[in-house]
Amino acid sequence: MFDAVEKEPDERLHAAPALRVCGAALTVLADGAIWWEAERMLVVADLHLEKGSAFAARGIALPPYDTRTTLRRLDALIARFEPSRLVALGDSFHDLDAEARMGAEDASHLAGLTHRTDWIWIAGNHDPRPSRRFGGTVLEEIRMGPLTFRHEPRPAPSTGEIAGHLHPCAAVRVRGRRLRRRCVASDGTRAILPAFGAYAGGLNVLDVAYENLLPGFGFHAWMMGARTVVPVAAHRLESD
Amino acid sequence: MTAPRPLGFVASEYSLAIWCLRDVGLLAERGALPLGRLFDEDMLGDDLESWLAESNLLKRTFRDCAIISGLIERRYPGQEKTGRQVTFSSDLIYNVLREHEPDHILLRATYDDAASGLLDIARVADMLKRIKGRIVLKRLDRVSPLAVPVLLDIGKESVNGEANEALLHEAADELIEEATRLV
Repeated sequence: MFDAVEKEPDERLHAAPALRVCGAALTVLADGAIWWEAERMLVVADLHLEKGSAFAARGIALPPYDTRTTLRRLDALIARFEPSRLVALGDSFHDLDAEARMGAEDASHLAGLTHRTDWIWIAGNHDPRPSRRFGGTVLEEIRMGPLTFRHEPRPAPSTGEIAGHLHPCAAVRVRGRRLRRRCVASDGTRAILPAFGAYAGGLNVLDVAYENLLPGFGFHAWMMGARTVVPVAAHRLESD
Repeated sequence: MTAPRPLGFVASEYSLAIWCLRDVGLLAERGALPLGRLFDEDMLGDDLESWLAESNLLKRTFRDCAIISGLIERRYPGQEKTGRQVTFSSDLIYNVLREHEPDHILLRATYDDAASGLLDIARVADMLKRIKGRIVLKRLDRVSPLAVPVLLDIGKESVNGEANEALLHEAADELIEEATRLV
């Protein structure tokens, strides 16, 4: 509609600022993933593949396309970054039967993705033993440099931990308007990633579930914009 | 042309209010936002469709359709959550359906409801044709009587787009921005 939009003063924010966890420079992506440039590694959490069909089996007929959408988004990320490694931080499959319910097309798409990079499935509580059928390596956790990647965050201090599990999101009120977005929650010693899955909901970072993980207000919520990510100080956030 | 970053709008039979992050009157006076362009008939094409698809109006209509069809349940304040009950964001379903099954009956119902009850494109087209070349910019020192009803309704229909992105950036912690830029 507006063909020549002026240069915005906040254009500089479009260069994604790096999140530092124990000295490791991580780029938070608006897609809800983390890119670790030094290791050429992509990190995603809580894909919850086949969540739609899990609900359908219980009589709630959600459209069964969540797996396809999630895989397409992953595919786009892999094409963009060509990572040497991808870590899926657990709860990649919504339940133990997810593998059996997955359509043939989605299954072969997923198998194709895992062959494009060194793919690591971290075991989650929904998927303690992800199937070997799709390729990739299954691990409880993986340590790289100063960082440890696992599914469920441990009580603070849990230095260098990159985890998922809680599906963090954050809400902030600006000039009277409330904005609620998925976010990466981090205090610089650890980070909790948002859910990447198309049907995964969010849990506000001010919920009691985070109290032992990120105590006090010394953390930031890296909130997902449409194209960029914005670090918001915890004291500015609102609960749900 | 400067994007005025609209926050919301409300209309009555004879007036339309749009509130923006930027001062629209000032932009128009300076020629940065030609009002003729703002009310250009060209907008009734693909722009309108893509805007509508992302609008609160349509998402809200979709949620109503999804509730009527039994796909999701309405939540009431104070209502206890039972183990079997699922609360599911209708926006997530809306996005996934649009991507994979744009002809889905719920989406068709949504468009039909929106087209019949909420939007009358033909009338908008008539209006845009009628006012072409007849727009007068007049900044008032008080609220005009005809504008009172819409001003009372301000905040009714919000626009989520560029303005929200700009607002989100306002919440950014500048210290962390600076600190991370130096490394």
